[in-house]
Amino acid sequence: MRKYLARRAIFALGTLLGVSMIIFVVLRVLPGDPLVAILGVEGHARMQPADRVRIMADLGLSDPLPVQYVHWLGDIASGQLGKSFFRGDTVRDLILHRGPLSAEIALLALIVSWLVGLPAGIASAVRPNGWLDAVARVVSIVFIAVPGFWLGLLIVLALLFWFGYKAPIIIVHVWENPWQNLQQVIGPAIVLGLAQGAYISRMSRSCLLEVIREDYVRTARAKGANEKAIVLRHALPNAILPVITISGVLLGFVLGGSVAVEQAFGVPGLGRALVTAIIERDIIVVQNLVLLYAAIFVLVNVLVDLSYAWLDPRIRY
Amino acid sequence: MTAETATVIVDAPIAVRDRSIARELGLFARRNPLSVAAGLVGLAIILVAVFAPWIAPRDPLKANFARMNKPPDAQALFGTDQVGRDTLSRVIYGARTSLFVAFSAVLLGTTTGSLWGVACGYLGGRFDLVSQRVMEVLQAFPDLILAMAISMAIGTGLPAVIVAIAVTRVPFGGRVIRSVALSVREMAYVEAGRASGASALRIMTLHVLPQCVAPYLVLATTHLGVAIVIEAALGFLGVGVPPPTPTWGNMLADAITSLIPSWWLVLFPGLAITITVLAFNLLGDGIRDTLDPRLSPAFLRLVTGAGRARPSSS
Repeated sequence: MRKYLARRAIFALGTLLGVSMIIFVVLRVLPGDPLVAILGVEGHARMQPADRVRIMADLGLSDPLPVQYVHWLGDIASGQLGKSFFRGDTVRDLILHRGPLSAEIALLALIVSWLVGLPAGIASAVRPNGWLDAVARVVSIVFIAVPGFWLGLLIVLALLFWFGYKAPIIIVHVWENPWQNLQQVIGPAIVLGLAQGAYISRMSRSCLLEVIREDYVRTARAKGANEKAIVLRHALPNAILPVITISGVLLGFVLGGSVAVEQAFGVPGLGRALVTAIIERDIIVVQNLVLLYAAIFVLVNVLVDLSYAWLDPRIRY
Repeated sequence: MTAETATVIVDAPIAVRDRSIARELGLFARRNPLSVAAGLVGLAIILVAVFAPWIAPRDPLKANFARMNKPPDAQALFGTDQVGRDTLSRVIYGARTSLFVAFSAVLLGTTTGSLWGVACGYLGGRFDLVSQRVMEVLQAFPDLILAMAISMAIGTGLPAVIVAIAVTRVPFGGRVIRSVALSVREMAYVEAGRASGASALRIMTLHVLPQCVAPYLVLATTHLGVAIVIEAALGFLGVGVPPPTPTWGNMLADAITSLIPSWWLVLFPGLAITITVLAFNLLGDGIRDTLDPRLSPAFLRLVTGAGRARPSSS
């Protein structure tokens, strides 16, 4: 087990190294002068060559590319992650300030998705092709198609229109004012959670249907166990593993989706910071935030793999 | 091999040859009425996009300051935006851009990925090993975030958005088609080709590729929906196709620039996205269900060229 863990960790690190290279190549090698964004088109045109050299050196952009790449890895190792072009603070400060809000949203969304998706999936599988199954399937098909950010916009609009309500727009951390914080995160969490819940209900339905056909479930029925015990105690534990996997995969969808959903709700989280940085062409911020999102995604999938070994006694590495 | 299965194999091609393509489609329609309906809706949306200049009641870019921010009425069925542009016309023209981007991205990305996957699965070895690592790295990015970074790097514009979305589709195509190619390469007829000295390229294009057409179709249809959502999200975040080109995402971004967004500016573009994605998803589901060999091998034979290149010819 420990050996497996070590191998998995090295693998994940390798993947992240590849990720960092792709980010670096995409952001540095491809055309586009970052100084245009900083100085504006006119300022850029009026800039003297000497100024240009000085500014590029200040920003650490005049070194050869491999050196810049190694510097970046050094910044990551030191935990400072480099500085924003426009604001004095380091990217680490930005992440510490904005990150908790986004993390809360992702976590709540995960909880919502299981709370909604699993019961729906179970209800569907217990009476396949019944009316509850039909409703659950239609609803999940619709929720998979609805873009989260649009649903978010509609919710914001409806609250504003009928109740004149608007969630707080400046960052409120949960340890400062839990009530206001909840108002900020609950909307995005529900929207993202419902979309994931749709996939989870689909997956748990099909997995349960497969397991319910197995011999040991029939045996349990023959012995006269009640239906609830059969489904929840006998069938469900064996059907749950693929659902956990898909939940991990869905996280990528949540991380990406949360960027747009945060924008829709006007939540000042990490996703908003990323969008702002991209529009401002603030390369240092973009490269670190994109890496962070990818790292979280990779980490979660490692955890999912490990949970397999932990939950399924047949799997031993 | 038992006598029973032998008869089945001998009989099957004859039965297939009797069926015309129209009958196969009829069978598909009877088994999947929902996905046929979805396909028709999808087709209607494509037609609207193609014939936008003839269908749209007004010029989507023309401002009309006499009629700014008007709710839906007889003159403008979907209302007008902050500078008096007709929302209905913009939604219709938006279909054009959104579908063009989605189709191009899938054609570029899913196809590249699939061809790559065929090569990985068939060639194997070190090429496959390295390719798998590359795809893993590409899949480590959340879709939307990778697309945002790429479209920022190569400059916002139609081609940039298409490439950005296409790159996110590559690893998915690669993964799925690779596994198909892996199983096909073990088939007897492929081995026969190798034994008779055909080159790897020849076997891949003539024998392996046709088997990948069906899974490719399923993949491409599903990816269309994903591509449409990514395009809309990019537009909404302001890193997609630059304004004033109407796309559904851009329209939503425009809508929320005002302090109190008008409901019709938010509702209609979003409905367009949802209906389109729903249509392609349902169509994809239907094709997948049909292609599941336990449910119906008929459509599989239809799309791979009826009766040709059957994997289990003995």
